[in-house]
Amino acid sequence: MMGPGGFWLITWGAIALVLIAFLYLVWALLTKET
Amino acid sequence: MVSTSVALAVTVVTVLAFTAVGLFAARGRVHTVEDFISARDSAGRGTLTATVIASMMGAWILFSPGEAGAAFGGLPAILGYAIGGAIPLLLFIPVGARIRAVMPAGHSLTEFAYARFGHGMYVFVLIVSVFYMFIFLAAEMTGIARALSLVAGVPLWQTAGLIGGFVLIYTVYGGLVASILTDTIQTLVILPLLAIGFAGALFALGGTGEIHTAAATADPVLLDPTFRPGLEFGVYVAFAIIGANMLNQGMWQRVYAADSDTTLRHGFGFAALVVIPMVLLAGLFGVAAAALGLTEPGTASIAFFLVLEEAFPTWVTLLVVILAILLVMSSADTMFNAIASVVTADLARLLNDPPQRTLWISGRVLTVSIAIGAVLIGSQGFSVLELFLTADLLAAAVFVPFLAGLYTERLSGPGAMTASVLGMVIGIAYFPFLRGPLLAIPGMDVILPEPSFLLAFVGATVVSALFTALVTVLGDAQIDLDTIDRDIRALDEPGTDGINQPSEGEP
Repeated sequence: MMGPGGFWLITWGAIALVLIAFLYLVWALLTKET
Repeated sequence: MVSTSVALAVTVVTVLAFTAVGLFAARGRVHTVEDFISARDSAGRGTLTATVIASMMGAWILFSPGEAGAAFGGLPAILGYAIGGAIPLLLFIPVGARIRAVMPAGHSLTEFAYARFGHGMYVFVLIVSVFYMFIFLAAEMTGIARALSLVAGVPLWQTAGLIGGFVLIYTVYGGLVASILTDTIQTLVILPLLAIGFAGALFALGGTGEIHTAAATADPVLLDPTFRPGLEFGVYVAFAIIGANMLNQGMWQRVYAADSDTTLRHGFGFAALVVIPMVLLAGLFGVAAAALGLTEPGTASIAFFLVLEEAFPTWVTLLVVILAILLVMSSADTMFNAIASVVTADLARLLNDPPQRTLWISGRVLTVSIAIGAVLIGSQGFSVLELFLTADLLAAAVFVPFLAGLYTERLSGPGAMTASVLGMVIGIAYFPFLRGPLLAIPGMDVILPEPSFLLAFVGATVVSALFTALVTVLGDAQIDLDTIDRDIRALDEPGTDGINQPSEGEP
């Protein structure tokens, strides 16, 4: 069974990745396509 | 519960805003049928990443991953779902580059099927691909109609009609250009909404520690990465997603939309990385719902909304309504244009270079017909899961021989078709949902194996792949891949819709 640390990591890691993806897209759209 | 009138008002404002964006973005940019169904070499890496994410991530992520997390095996099931969602996008990196190299002037996957394999395989690919895309569309309409009915009691037909109608307006006007540009903005709204929404839910439910403790107490297998049924679900859903997406014309259109092979690699690669945490987050809502005892038999598919009701204040629920609407709009416009483009590109060949006016009218009439069909089905609230999985199964049997045609000149059309049929036979033999009709055939009860989703999907893919390898080694169809592109017709004469000016001499 996954421990509380692993569950914390997978949950907050996923949230962080989605936010990083958002920032990357903003950066890519502003710097590469304007 | 959010009031019906508030939810409807939010829906109307959202669809109006994005319809305006779509109309404005496409203004003056769609001059030909080619522009309507193709956006060749026009998307940079940011735009391509955003449109691929938006096209693939529909309202289904608010239902299916949560259901998988709550009822089909907890963490391993949603991990399989997430990775399965990423694999086809990663596959499109080499396959997409190959498509662009073999058929640089192409528009659709069925064009390739016809030019490479001939009539038989073309009809096969056309039916499987359009069936899958239409079911996807109908499922999206059903999903959003159910979502708004659950959180605000909005009648199904009102939601499906509103969203389908407004997406139709900008898609019929602006075609693929409008779809890609609205996708870009929709993704920029969807990503933070999903992250903030889930972070808010975590805090409201007491943090990851509370959910973990509740899950460990209620049902420890929810957190067991080695739980066998969860792993099996993860594997077969991955096969289902891979096959279906390789036959998704919306993805083929975006392969051509990339402005270079480098952009293609970056766009699809980054989208694959983003899809994993998105599906994972949506699936974790299911684990949370099951852990907190919010789900009962029959309610696992709405696990996301059960957590929403438990944890969120009204204003956050409205944000999720916007999220759901954007997820549907971004996938629906892709499917409207994808299905229309398959048929429009094929009409150009079947009618032997018809006038541009015929193609324009056909493309748009088709888009309207598809939308009406999807809205009608969506407003009935049917369960489309069985149809969805059936479409996925057919695609799982067809995609390997179909894509092998991009790489080998030895594989013949009949060989590819036989491989697909064999894959389907194995898949259908094991497929639980088709067991009833099959047992109606005398003698079938003796020869049919135990039903299994895992063996149906893996069997369909592996058997068609093995037979493809066999006929490739043994046969030599002597197809010249260098000549495939020669049969592709350009569709770039100006249109005659009153917005885009016709060329001289155009009827």
